[in-house]
Amino acid sequence: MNWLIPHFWDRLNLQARLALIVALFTLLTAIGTAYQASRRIVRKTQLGLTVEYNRQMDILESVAMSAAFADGKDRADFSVERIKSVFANYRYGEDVSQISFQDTSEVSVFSRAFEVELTAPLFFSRWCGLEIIDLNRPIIADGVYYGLLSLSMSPNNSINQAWADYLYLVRVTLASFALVLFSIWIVLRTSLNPLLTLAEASRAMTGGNLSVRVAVTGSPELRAVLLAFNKMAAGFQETLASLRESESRLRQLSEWLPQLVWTTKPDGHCDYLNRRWLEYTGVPEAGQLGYGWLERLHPDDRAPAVAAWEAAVASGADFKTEYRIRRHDGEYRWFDTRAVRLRNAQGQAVKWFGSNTDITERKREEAAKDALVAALEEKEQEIVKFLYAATHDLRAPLVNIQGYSEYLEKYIKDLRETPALAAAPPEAKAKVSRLLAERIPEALGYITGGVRKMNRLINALIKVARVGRLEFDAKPLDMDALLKSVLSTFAFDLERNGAAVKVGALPGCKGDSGAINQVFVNLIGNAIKYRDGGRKLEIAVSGKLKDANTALYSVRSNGQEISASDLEKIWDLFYRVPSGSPAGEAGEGIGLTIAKRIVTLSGGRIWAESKEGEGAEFFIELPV
Amino acid sequence: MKIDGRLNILIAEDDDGHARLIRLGLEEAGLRNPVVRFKDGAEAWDFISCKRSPCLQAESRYLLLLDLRMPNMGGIELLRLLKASPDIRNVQVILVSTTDDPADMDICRKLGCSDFLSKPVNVGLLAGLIKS
Repeated sequence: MNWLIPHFWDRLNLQARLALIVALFTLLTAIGTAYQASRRIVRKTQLGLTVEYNRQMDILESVAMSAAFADGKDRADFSVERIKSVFANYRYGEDVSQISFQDTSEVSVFSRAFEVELTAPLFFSRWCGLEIIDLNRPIIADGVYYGLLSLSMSPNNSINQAWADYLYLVRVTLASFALVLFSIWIVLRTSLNPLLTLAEASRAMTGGNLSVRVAVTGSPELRAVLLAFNKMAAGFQETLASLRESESRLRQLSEWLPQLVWTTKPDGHCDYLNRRWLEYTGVPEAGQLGYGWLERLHPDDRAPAVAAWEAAVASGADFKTEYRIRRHDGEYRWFDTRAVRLRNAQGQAVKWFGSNTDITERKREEAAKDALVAALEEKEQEIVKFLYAATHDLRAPLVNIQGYSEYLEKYIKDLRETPALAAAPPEAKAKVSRLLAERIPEALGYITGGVRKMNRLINALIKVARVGRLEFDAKPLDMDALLKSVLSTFAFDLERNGAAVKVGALPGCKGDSGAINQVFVNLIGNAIKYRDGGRKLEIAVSGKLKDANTALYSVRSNGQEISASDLEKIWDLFYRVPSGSPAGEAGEGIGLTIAKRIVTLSGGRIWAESKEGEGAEFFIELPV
Repeated sequence: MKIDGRLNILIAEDDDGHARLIRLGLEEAGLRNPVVRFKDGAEAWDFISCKRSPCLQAESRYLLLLDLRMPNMGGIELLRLLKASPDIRNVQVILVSTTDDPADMDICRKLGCSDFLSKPVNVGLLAGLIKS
């Protein structure tokens, strides 16, 4: 069907199309009506003409007759003179174009022609199809033939009349057509125009002009629509204004921030970079919007940065990463980059707001710190290795001193029992006896005592060194079971001292089972070792969750209290409280050192509190 | 294991004093088994792996008192070599250390040696082990 519709049709708006259809319709109706009307006129004219001719002829005949019988004659007198005078004076009908009279010998007695002008166009005259009509009538009076009366009648007058009528019809038709067009135009103007204005206003608004308003005119329903549009536009304008204001506030604020600040659309395309960013990079904003900023990043950081950014945009989670940005002078500096997604009141994502903080110095310090820590750890490992080797090497000569001292004791005993000694002179015998019985055993006693002391120290050193070499296997620990096992190793000592042990429900924690076991062995062991002989020993072990990540345990005993000045020193290697153990059991001075080392290496904390007369309480914090 | 002339005692010990103490202890306990002493692990391994004469006799049985820390080749290294040689079945190892460090005992256990003694070697214990 498309081919039926002329090309220009598409270009016409609704108003023009409607007007054109109505106009064409009116025009066709008018033309049809005019045609019909003119046909009718023509038919009527033809009919009228015929009747008129006959009437004219009758009149003429009667005129001729009356002329012939004038003056009381009883015979007709159609003399040439008479005819001439009669017809010359006769006032002819206006359609008559020629009149003539022939006598009996067919000689024209009288002839006269009249001009009937045709004012209507020729085509109209042809279209009417009317011709000159010639009528002949023989004039016969009382049975005597006098001649032939000929009359020619022109249709021109009738055609002129018909043309005038036709013209009138056409005028009326055109006038009504114009009237119809005009009224359509008026109707459309009052009803369609406001709608067109509305459409134009909507287009303008879409184009960003929110201040556009339409005149409220027309029918009530139209007015309601236009009013609603104006309200909507005002609402939009207000919302946008407040949005723009808050955005401009944000930007003003961000211009002052020391960080590089930026925003992006919800889809991740950058739409703003603050002045500091532009100053830092030395590149105008236009080249960096969208994803243009990527070119400022260190080539090695681009792919991971984009991947992290796209993941954040897809999930909406807070964005946090670190990358290097090229400064205007070519230096790449490290930035801590963070961004959050901003939402409007309806919960829709409207923007990402991000900032980059220069952390180059921090990075440098961290790297230096890491290097230092690594160096320290290496040194510590060296010390631990040295300690291990040294203790073993220190033990080797002691083995000889210890072993051969024992043999010396034995040899001296053998010597004293040697019969040869009995035979010696009394002075020499007394001297040798004193040496063998007193001096040498005394010297040997000091040697073996020294060796024992040395051994103890070396053994203690080995134990401390061992903690440093342990590889902690941190696993969730069932502390109830662990403490049960610890207490079972002290079953004999506890029973012998009539101790009362209370153990509350203990929360679990994370640590190396062997190492944590050692901590509690040392603490319970100390509680027994430093008991107060004057009262019954009571030990209470309790625990609770300090927070979601930390368990806190306590080992409290009513034994000897720790003086305030000793509370810190008790953790030192080989330190023993000056008062010593009340029960006289000498400690090695390493139990608490080891306990503290283990707890610290397990990521926990250990400390002691003591009140006079109430014994001491040890607290252990361990990760859960 | 009964005491018989065929149980040979091998001592791998770099410290002369320590080696001598063990010999004294064995004499003291009245054990007359043949004793061969090596100054380090490498020497002991040469003997055990028959790199020089005299060397390990396939039909004899041996008890190796092995010091943990020695120059050239330590006790642990020698233990590893022994473990990697399944055809040497007639050598039993007692690891001897200057300390009673449980870490050393652990190493000994992991490498499959039968016993562990700390210095100075308690002759009674050693004799008990030999007699058992």
